[in-house]
Amino acid sequence: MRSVTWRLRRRLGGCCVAERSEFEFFAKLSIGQYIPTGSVVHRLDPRVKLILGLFLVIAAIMISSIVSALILTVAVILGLRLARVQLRLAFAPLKIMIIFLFILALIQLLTIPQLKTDATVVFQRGVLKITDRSIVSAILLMVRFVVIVLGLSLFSFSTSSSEVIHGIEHLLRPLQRIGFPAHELTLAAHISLHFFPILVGEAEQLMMAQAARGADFGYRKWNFLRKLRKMLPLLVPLFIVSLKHAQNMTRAMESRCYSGGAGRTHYVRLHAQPADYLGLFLGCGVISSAMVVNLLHVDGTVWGLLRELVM
Amino acid sequence: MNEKVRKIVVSGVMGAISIFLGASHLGFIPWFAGAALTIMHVPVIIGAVLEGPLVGAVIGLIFGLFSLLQGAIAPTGPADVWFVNPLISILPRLAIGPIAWLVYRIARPLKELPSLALSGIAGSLTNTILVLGALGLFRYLPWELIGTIAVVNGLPEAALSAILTTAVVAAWKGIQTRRRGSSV
Amino acid sequence: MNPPLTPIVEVRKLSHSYLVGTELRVDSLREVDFAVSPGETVGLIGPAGSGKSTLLHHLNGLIRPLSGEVRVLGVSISQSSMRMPMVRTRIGLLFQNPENQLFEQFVGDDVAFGPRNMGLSPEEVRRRVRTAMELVGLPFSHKDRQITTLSLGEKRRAALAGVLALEPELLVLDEPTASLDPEGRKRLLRTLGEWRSVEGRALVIASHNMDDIVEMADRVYVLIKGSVVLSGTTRDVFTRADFLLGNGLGVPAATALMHDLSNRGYGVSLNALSDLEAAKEIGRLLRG
Repeated sequence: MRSVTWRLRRRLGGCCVAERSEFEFFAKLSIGQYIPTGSVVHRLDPRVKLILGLFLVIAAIMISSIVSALILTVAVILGLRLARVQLRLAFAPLKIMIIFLFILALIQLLTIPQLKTDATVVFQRGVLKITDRSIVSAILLMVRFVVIVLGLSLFSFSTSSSEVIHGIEHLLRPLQRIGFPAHELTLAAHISLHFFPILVGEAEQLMMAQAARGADFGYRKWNFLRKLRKMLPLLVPLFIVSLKHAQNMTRAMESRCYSGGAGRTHYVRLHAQPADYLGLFLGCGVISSAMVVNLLHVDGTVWGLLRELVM
Repeated sequence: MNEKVRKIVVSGVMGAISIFLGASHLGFIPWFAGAALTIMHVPVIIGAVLEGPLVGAVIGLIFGLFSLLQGAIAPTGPADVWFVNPLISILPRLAIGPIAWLVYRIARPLKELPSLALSGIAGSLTNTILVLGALGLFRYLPWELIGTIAVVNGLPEAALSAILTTAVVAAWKGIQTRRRGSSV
Repeated sequence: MNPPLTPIVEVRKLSHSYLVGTELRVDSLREVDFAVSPGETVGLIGPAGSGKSTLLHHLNGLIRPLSGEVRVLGVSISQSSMRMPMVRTRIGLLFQNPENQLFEQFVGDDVAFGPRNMGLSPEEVRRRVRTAMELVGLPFSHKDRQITTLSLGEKRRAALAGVLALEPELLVLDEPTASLDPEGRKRLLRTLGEWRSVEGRALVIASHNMDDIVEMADRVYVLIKGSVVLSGTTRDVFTRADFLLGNGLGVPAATALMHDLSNRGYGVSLNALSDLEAAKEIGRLLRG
């Protein structure tokens, strides 16, 4: 189980590469943000984390009260601290996103007015109409995304990709009995994950081989057709080589008597400990409380209280 | 048994390619004004054409999941924020494979190569229409803008998808094209 | 007495690491010195993971040096003014399993890929493709064959032709005979021999096959864990059999035989590198 970092190259059209060779960045490509800090959260059964994660996302989507959204946000941040993840790291993608989020919220605010009967119009000029409801929903939009992003970050920092897949497979196993191919799906996901680094190596090799024949891979040129003609000598062989790998992998699996998931014993077995149940209980408790608060419609009261405090 | 194992492996391998195209710059072919045509859905189409609609759906699932995670954890642009919603990132992508396969099956008895191109187009358009449609239904974008994007971005993407699908499947299956010989 | 020739490629104190700044950092090359001059054939041997491929990738600028210097035809490639694609067409690099890089439908088109990238006229492209194909033993008429119909040996020859069509001065090959049958191997080595007989050309071969090296190379570098631990003429290097074997490398079959005989008490010279020399040595022994 490797600890790896996720680095994405931003596609800035026409931007050229730094002094380092054009090919080396491939080495940095890897999946997952897993940082093993050995915290309590890391040691939780992946199934607990999966369930809580799903619950969190559903709750985030369903709530319509800002107070609830804030409760969830605080909960996730606490989770991140528990996992001993540097908040700086977790908030990094948000820094990039915050502007986009803002623009999106603005777009929604201005183009889709909330024409509910109990909405009071706060601002109106010509066609543009902003109601208090639309402001709330714009803020909710942003907070919702923040919760989901931070939650997913927390999950990915504390769970390695292998753990995730084993967790999913265990959770879905009961469905196997009614014909849902849980085992096959998770195996496919597993193969994807493990084939990825091989693929990166092949891609790098291909890029270098074609470049050695004079194909210029520096992204300095804008021309679409040229870029296309550079891409095909790389893409087509990449697919073909991968399909050949797939053929070999299939034969290798068959020659080791693999014949589907039925009746197979498992090498990795997940055993839930009391600590896991406790974590599940606490996590569900927090999220449920946010949903209860949502139902109580406390937003108005809280808003009133705040205004009184400020006045 | 032979079939089943191969289908699983191809799903995994094509899924990895889709992720790879998304995570590296290779998956984005620059078009005008900084916009890009993506080919991340092409592995889905190729997998579906070679191994069937179920495999296509699985690869689509992997593609969708990845685009969701990318949007949440490592976004590269404003659009990524929308993809955090699974109904936008995952659901439409499940359809790409089966539809591409269907088109291929229908057109194939007529002629092999054009049916590959058609399935490439169909798969790409499915991706474009369903994703943009979802964006519209969720009110993330106004419909007029969606229409423009669909044409300006979606059509060239479909053409690109057709070219790539045809090139790869023809090479893999050793299918002969109309060309008689080398142009040298 | 010939004046010393400017090396085609000269490498000084070259160091390279992968994934600098992460916890996965690997030092692949440590202060390597290397040079190839016109007319030479240089061999590069080393166990897997020793950095052979990394070194080769520096030779035509695919990787730029982390520290140290790489000079191609007298000019340092660290200068960004160097147009890499042009360098790469004067130094041809054939990768391991080059069959994977073939992407065109027809043989002729794939061989033409390089020359076309150079922007040459169709007539010139055609001439180069013809010359390259015939050199590797593929008749020009085969240009219309589908690549999917070629055997492994033919594909490898097609890939080599693709590189030769660039008409480089230096040809660098990474494991050129891997997976080839004896016939294929002989043919490849013969092609290389023919190619390098033209004045001014040089060859670099990285291989695990010691017999290849003995047959083709004038000088050899031994790379272990990123450092050059031994270099010299082919004979100098391979007579250090114990050193090589101790570091996980092999020796030519003939040398191994001589060592075996010697261990059994026969007074043979350990100096035989090729089959011919071994035969002569055994003949000498038999004559008493």
